[in-house]
Amino acid sequence: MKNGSLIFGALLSVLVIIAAGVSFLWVPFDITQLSIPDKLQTPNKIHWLGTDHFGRDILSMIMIGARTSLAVALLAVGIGFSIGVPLGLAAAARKNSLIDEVIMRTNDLIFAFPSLVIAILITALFGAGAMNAIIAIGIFNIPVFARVSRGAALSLWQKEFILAARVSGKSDFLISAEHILPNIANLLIVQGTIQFSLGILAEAGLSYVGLGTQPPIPSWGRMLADAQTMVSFAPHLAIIPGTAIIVTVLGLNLMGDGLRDILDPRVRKSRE
Amino acid sequence: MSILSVENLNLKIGPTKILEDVSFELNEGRILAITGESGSGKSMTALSIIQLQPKNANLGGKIFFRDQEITKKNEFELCKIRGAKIGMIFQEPMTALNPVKTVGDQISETIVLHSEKNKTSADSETLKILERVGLKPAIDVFKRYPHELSGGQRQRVVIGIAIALKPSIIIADEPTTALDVTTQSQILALLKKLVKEDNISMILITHDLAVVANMADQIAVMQNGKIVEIEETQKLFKSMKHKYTRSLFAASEHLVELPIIDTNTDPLLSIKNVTCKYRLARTKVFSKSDYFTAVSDVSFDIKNGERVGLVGESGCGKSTLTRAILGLEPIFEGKINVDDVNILNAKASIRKNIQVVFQDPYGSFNPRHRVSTLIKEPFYLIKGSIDTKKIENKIEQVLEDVGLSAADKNKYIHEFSGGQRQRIAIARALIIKPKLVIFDEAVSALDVTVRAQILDLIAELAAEYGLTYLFISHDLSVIRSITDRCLVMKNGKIIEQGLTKKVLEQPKNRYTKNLIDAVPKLPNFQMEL
Repeated sequence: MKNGSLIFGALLSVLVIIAAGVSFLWVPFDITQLSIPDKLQTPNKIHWLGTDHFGRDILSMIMIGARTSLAVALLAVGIGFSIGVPLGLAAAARKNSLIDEVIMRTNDLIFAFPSLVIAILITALFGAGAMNAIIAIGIFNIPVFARVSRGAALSLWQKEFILAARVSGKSDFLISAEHILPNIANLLIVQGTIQFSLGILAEAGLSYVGLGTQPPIPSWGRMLADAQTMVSFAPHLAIIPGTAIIVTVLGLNLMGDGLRDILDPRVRKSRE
Repeated sequence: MSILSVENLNLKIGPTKILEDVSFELNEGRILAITGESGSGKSMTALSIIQLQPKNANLGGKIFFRDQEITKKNEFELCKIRGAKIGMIFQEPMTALNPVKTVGDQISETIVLHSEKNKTSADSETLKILERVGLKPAIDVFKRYPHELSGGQRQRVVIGIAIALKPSIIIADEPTTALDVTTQSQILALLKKLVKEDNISMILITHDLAVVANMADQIAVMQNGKIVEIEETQKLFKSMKHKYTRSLFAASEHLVELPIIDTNTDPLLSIKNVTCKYRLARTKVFSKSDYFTAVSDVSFDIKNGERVGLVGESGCGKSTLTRAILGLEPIFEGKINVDDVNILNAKASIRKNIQVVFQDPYGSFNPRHRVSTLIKEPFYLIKGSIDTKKIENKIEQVLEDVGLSAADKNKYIHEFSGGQRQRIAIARALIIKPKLVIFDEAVSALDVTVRAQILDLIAELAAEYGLTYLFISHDLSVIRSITDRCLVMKNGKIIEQGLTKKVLEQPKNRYTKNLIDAVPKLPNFQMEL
């Protein structure tokens, strides 16, 4: 099938989004209630995915965890997009100028730091929590979007329709907004889905080391960390959140690949 | 004796018929030219002969090379024929060569690949080939990379690769279209000499009737995937049986009638001692960077109502000068004034006097906007309130003026052909009635018949709008038909100027003379009748 990966990826992503959405209205069990007698059950008829060491229902935790993961990743991509794209466009509009150099060299600087170390630094300075995780992940998304949009915009600036717009007296800002941005939107959408999946991974990673979402709010990374000591006698505690992460990231990546195939004008042209 | 015979070639891609019943024979040592406009199927015919048609194409018919049926062969057998027996020369020499290998290695690699020879003897043969294609000293050229050579030199290397294996047939697909006229005439002469020396048969594919007339023994004219006429060159030009051949011929000879103007007016554009320089990349860390002078000390005026041409080959500084006039390029020295106001950093009220039409009908428009949005863009230069109704009326008016319909304003640009797009580009340039329009190679990318229509349109609009324009082109025939006065540019300098007729008929400068002589001319066979 032509768009197989897109459809499969979209299905997986929609599944996760539905799980997160439903969790606002209803979850099978209240996860704030501990029930020690029910602890460490393997998947069964009452608790479909089993329970953890406090007797909390894992399915409920996964659903609420999906909400956390998606929210953190979405906000982080949002930060990266809304700061990175304008910076990239500005750098492209003023190619080889001081502004371009400052923007791109700062990007290089951020790229050069291991992201986890910076995230640890931020959370160490401002305290652990979902908000700081969002900011940390978001900062690392900025250079990605800035580079992608600058590269794509640079080649567009050579096009004659941009020259025509300049002859019409339009400012660089207006040209970037009217002509450049719509033409690089495809690329940014694809990059966005990929960054989104990376954001979910980063959130899980930060929560795993205890710097992301704080208990009692469930998070997939947090669940993995908790499962660590019990993995020998209750492996499902690790397998289930691990699978949730894999499914989400795989779904988003497949969707990103599929979208790129569809939105890439060269591919699209050959299909017409 | 026929060396290649194509019988009832049919090619379909999906439901679209690309080729229909194409049949011809190529005799040994002869040059067959296939000509026609873009989309007529001439390149697809060439690709089918070496079985390189697109994978999703459906090919019918027979192709015999000597006694072998080519369409029945498998990929392995075809590889032995391609290159060794049938060589190919493409349009764009830069993309046909591998940029990370020296040109010598690329030729000798072909020899090693297709013959029993070892690298050393292949290398010495390569040197001989380089000399034959006129790249001297061969030892020196051998070690160069493609980017170190000029376009013409690169095309010589590609020709070298094609003749290296002494093929029986060479297929040349628009071999000189990407080159300047003076280079074109050299390359054509070289090709003709080589095929005669080695007794190679050649299929020459080109859209340029004049090139065909001077090269080919036999000409096939294609239209919509069919060969409408195939005849010996002399006979074809004498009789021109088919209507389409006649219209092609007429279009390439096309002359337009320009309205007469009164030239005793004030200069609209005045260019005084303009020099434009580019900073080159530094070769050492602490050295000062050098400058490349693209335009040097250029001065001329354009008066109200004048139609001026600017001729020059690639790299002569035409484009830089255009951008400078449009106020998009910083000027190193000198002044460009429009209505006595400096154009650089000028206010919208001055800039609205100049508009431009570019060469590429595909790259000139933002593919994501509708036609109405595209052509009303220059209104941005007119400050103050113009109501939307008025703008809408103007859009419809100007679309009709350029020969399109008012309803076209709601379409997207990909729904139009190259010629129609160029009409839309002209509409965009004219909508705010500028005083000066710059046509930057505005008809170079178009087919001859479409070009003739666009030139007619420009002449019509010149009368209707009282246009003053600067027409930049490398094509002397276009300059001849559409300008009153012309300037010849070389290496950033204006080397000759005067009335177009005078400059083209009695050139004073040697370079201008060479330029005029290099243009392939259509023979006047009809006179002999």
